[in-house]
Amino acid sequence: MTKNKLNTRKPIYITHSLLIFFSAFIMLPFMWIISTSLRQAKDSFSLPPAFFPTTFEFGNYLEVFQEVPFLAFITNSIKVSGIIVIGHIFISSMAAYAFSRIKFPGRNLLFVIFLSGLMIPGQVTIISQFILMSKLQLVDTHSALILPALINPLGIFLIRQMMMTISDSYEEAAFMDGANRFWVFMKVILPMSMPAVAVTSVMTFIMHWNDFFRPLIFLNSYEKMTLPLGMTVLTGAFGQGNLSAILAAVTLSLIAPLLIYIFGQKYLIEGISLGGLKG
Amino acid sequence: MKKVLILCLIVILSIALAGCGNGNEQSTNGSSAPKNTNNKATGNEKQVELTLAFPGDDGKKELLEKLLETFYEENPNIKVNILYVASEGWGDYFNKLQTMVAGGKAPDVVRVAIEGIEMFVQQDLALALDEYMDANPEVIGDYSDIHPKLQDPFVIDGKTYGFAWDWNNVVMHFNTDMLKAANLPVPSKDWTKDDFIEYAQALTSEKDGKKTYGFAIPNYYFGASAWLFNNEASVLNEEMTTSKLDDPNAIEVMQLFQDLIYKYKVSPVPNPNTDMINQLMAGQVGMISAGKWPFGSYMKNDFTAIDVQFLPTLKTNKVIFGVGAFPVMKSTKHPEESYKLTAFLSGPLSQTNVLSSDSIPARISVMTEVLPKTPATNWAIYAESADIAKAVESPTEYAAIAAVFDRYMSAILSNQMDAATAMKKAKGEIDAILKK
Amino acid sequence: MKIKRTTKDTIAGYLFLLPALLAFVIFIAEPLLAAIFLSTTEYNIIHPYNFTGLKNFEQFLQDERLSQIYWNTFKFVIILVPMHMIFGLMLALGVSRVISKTGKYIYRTIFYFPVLVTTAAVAIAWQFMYDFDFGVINYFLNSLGFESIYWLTSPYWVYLSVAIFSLWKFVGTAFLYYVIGLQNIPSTLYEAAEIDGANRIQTFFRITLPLLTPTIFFVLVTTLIGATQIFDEPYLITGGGPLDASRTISLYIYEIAFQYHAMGYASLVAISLFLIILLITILQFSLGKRWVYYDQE
Repeated sequence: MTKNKLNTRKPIYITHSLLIFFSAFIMLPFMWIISTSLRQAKDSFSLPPAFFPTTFEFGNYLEVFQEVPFLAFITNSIKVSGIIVIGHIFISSMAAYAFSRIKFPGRNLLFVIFLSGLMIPGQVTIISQFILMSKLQLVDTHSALILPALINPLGIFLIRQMMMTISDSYEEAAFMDGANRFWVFMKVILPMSMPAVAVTSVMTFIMHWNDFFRPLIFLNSYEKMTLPLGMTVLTGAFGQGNLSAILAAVTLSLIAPLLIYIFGQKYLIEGISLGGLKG
Repeated sequence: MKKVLILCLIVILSIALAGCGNGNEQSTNGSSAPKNTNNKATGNEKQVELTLAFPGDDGKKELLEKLLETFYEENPNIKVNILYVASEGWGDYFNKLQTMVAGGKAPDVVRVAIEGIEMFVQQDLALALDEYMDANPEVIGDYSDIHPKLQDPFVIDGKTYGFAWDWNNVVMHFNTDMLKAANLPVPSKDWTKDDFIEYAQALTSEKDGKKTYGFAIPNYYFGASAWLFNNEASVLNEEMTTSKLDDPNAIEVMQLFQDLIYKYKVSPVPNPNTDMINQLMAGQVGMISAGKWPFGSYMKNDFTAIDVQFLPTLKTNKVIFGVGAFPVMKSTKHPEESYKLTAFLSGPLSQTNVLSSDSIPARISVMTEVLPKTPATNWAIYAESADIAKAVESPTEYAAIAAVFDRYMSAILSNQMDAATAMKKAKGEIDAILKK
Repeated sequence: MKIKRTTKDTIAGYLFLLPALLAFVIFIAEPLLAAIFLSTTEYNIIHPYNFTGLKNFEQFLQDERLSQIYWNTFKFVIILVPMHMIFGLMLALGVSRVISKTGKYIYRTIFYFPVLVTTAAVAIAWQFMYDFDFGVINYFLNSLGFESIYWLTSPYWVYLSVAIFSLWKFVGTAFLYYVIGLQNIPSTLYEAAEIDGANRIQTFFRITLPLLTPTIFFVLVTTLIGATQIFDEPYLITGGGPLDASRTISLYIYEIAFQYHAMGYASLVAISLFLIILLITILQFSLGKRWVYYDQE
């Protein structure tokens, strides 16, 4: 008994020190970003650096919207991510329904093929997707970002997992009442799969909200850009030394993920549980 | 079953439509106007929309749009959509334009600098303007007013592809406050390399933990080329068939750059985001080599402690220049209107109104009028250099070659390799590109 | 009755599958096959393609930059994967020891938040933090008496710069996986161990670790695949420089395809990346059978 007590004291200190140290590591850059964004432009590079705001130049934030179409960046991101999520959910849940609840020849083989799609790195497919979009004259449009993103085998997998747990009796009852497949899908199975759907939605939204690579390749003009790409452009536009304004933009970009985190945290964790850890 | 099918189609279609919502306007109205229409628009001409591509960060947005209002008065049947292309440097900009061409969305008129004109012509993307010039000469105004040396790069194999609009060179900029603090005058035009190093050392100091440096290395193709030219060196040979970076003169310049950082310690290591204009304005650096473009920032930030001088003479003194114009793309559906636009954009009105601070107008009349207003005592050097300047090397493969050069320059400036090794490797890569 | 149902089912099945199947063929299957075909051509999009057979492959074998770039990618993987896995595990174990529920919640929020944030935005901020003369990090090193480090311009330090940023940004992912993995270990096992008098270390190695192996495996596989493909971090922080010091294979493919427009060669390099990832994953799965402990109840 006493042995245990001695054993537990030291590790707890070490544990807490580690956790606090790492928390500081995570938090300090954010504090620096926010504090410096509130400094005057000409002081933005001055040392010592700020971790707590001492000046409150909110004008920097206004400048961000004036210098580049920042609002457009945000609305574009919302639009693109939003449409992708909606389209993706429809397509994936229908496919998941087929894979989980309808018996048809070739089902298992097709499922494996779909999953193997996850293995193919983006760099391989993007080249041909780009050529395709060029030929379709869709380069520098949002369609070029949206269409290829509609298929994501991971979403199909997650929703299928959930659908497989639904008991057959619901469907059988509905069939006996004369309902057709589609009605059963829309009114019975899909609502019961909402947790998986919610999780996939949140994960997909975040993934595309933060996507930098594909907009970099497909988008050219300012008005079409999404937020990650817009951020890099902004740095060029403010190159004439206004670090405060750049960091103001960075701070602004933190708001959406923060909101998503507050409201979507539950789903994220569920998603990860559903996803892969149970072997 | 049917329902499912229909639903699927609806879903796919609605997504496609929603995504395509922001259609880009390509000029689809009307066919090309016949060759010999006269200049003024008649009420019967169909409405034409042109797309003008511009590098996004050129900062001339409001001035351009204001200028176009005059264009619309003279040409009510033409509307111009300005497409700002975000890019990092000319090489990246040209790549993006090529992508647009490949994607079937080529603009009608593009802003281009000399670095890209060879590529556009060799790739058969630029429209020869001579026949339109013959049909509508009044639109250009006085052709001879365009400084012949500056216009020359845009006349290739006897065909005219654009009218010089603005040009830039590379000179030395000084933060005069820092000069005063070090008790130094602005040097005379024949100052030497040793003078330069002395100046750089005098301007480097560390007071109360605040570091200042004498000179910011021009770690970009145009800026570094200026120094190469002054040492009787160059990136390529005259015929642009092979690289001359392994020439001892070239290596000497690059080694000087490395020494300025690590031996003399008068220059900061350039970070990826370093903006030397800002460093000069903030007093972090005393001298930078740039053209006229920093003046845009100086004015925006009310920075007046500035003066300029030719770069120091190394083995010689040849000022470098780069020049811009507005070629018309061959793929345009409205060549006649595009010609009018490009001529207008290069015209005296455009130059006077839009090029006020950060470029030098290419028309002699405008140059003489505008340059004296430059807020630097030595403004005259800008005017003088037009006659003697040497064009920046602009091969067809400019983008790729500039990328190689920048990469190896970064190796030198980060002390990864000595200049000789780096330049020899650069030559190897550049030669391989030229062979293709 | 039975026969009727099956045909109906087949049609229904394929109809539900149709949009996904279509999208899969157009955006995954076709691009893969196209890439294989393209690798035998020279194509810059503007002009029609030339069939050049094995010429790209020759270039691949002679490409001097390529070996350096593959080596860089390998170095990144060696640094990033263990770093993410070990720190993630340490943090998860640490948080599991925290008694108060609010404490747990706060730590989890803090550690996971950077994962959600837009990489491009924070990368830009970090790039300024790494500035040699005026950056925050060197400022602190100096105030502690150390010399400034060439974070972004030294071919040796760039790895650390990208790695530290990557850790800060993405350790939350591994962390969260481990947290869930730990939660799935029934507490009854721990109670039994305590009753039997096991100490901390024994508990960890005999119970926690073995039962965590599925999670560890999952994290290993995903982190490894991710690390071989990193693009955003090197692109945004160092741009691949200086020279090619931090250029990963993804950066190189981007350069070839979208700056030089050499679609054929780019496809070949991309396929080489794919094969490497495939190989590594197959290896992992076959080795995994040996050390991953699955619930054998």
